Amino acid sequence: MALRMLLAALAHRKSQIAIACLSVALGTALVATAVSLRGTQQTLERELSRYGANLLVLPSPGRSLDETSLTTLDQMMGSGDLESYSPLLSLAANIGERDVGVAGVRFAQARNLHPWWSVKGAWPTDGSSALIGANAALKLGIQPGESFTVRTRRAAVTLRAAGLLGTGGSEENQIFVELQTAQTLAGRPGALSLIEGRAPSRKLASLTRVLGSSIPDAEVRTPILVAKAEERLIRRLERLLILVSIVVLGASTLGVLATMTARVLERRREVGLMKALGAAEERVTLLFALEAAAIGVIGGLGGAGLGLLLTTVITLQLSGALLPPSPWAPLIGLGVGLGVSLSASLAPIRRAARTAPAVILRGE
Amino acid sequence: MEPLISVRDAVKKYNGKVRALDHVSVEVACGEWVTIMGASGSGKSTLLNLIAGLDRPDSGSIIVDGVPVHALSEREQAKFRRETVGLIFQQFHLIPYLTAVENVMLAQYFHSMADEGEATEALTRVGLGDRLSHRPAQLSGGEQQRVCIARALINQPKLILADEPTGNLDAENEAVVLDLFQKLHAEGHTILLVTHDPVVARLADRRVSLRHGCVSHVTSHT
Repeated sequence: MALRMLLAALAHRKSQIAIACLSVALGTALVATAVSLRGTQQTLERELSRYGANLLVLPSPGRSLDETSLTTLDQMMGSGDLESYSPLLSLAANIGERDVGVAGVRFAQARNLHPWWSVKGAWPTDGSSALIGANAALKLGIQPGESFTVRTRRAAVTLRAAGLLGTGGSEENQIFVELQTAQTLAGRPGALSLIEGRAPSRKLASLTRVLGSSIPDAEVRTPILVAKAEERLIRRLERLLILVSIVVLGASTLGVLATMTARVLERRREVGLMKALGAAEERVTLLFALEAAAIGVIGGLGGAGLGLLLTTVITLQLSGALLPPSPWAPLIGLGVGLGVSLSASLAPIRRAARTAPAVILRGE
Repeated sequence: MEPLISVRDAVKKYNGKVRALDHVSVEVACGEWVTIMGASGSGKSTLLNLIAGLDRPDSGSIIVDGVPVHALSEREQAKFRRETVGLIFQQFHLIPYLTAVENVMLAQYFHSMADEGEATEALTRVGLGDRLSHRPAQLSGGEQQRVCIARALINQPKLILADEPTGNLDAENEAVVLDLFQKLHAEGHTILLVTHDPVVARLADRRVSLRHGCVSHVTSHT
């Protein structure tokens, strides 16, 4: 019977109910959006990792960096604090009569750190092959598959061009060789110019401190990338949404309060009749609470759906990626919707339950 | 034998000044049909509300079926109303968005458990078997009053209290409703009916006349 009463009462003043549901939906939508954005942060971090290194380890002025410092970074990789890193040694060399910048890297690690690097041909598989930057290849007239000799004052090494490298950056002017080959050419076994790394943004600050103390001869820097700025923007947006959500939730609560108060006042005679027929306060409370709960459920679920849509639009606009929504959003929407509706209805329901039957029946 | 209703020395004042009932004493036996007559403002409805446990006297006692209604808490009064009393109103007081059968089921729901079959049967008894799914706005005044009577009877109350049940009806519908009251009386129901219509009052076993909140005289028709 309570369900029949509820359905009939909801159908009786549809516009009133619709306004209350809309009030709840708007507040819930913003909360669901804020929650969804928080839920997609990890995915967003994965997306942002495509933008490359956010950590640089450089030798302090007058000092040098060598491969022994990589032990610390390997430990950080093992504990999950560091996502990837790539050591690098830069040197100047000649190919024929031309000067060229040579960078020694570990190709597997460099590829992992710079997933957007595009290679025409193949990645080098051993110390005897190299990647030629697209501009350098043009300048030197080297094609993939051709062999060439790189000379320094200390050594000369003949290498095969495995592929052409396109990055859209200064790397296109260089030749990339295996780290050990570069160290031979430089006559500096074990030496490094710098280490590039990628760490989750929330761990950057602590990681910088730990690295600074573990490698005394090094300076640790965190370059501000566009991606980092983008992530900050998301966080700011999230904070803004939470703030706006609080304000809108307040407005939603007032909207439901006004609707429920109007419904109780309009139905005073009806409640008086219920009490005259012997309805206990609990029964009257239950009937009105069911109405409030129905408004909360409809508005909450509608708001959660609206919130997911809003989240999709925001993340698409900001990162261009379609991120999976938080699975908690519908549940949170339902909870927020019920919370707003029931808390806003508390005072009107109390008022309804305390209606005196005789006063109503006398038409006062 | 103990009377079903025993009102002793009941006084009811509104706003502390207006004396609606002034030391009224009335007794109604089980199975008796009593009408309360009087002009507007004589205290008829006030007396009915006190007996129904809808209001409290300022002094005096109201005992119904051995229960001191005047001394009950609000919760106990609600229990008393749903278990002992069937109320019929001049204004019908049906819930506009519920159908006839749902309006009857509402009284069952507050009493114990709603049973659509029983509610249908009660409406059929008052001649509304073909109006079950009609809403109050789709029913005539007489039909609405019959829904109200079916609702009052659905929980088999010991006492039927009716406040001007024919006050809003035309002659034809009045006759139908009064016929129902006569049948209920014949079945042994105790009826206390407020009216200002002498024709209606004459159908009862006894008539209690009120004037300015006092019992002016009692007339027996049996």
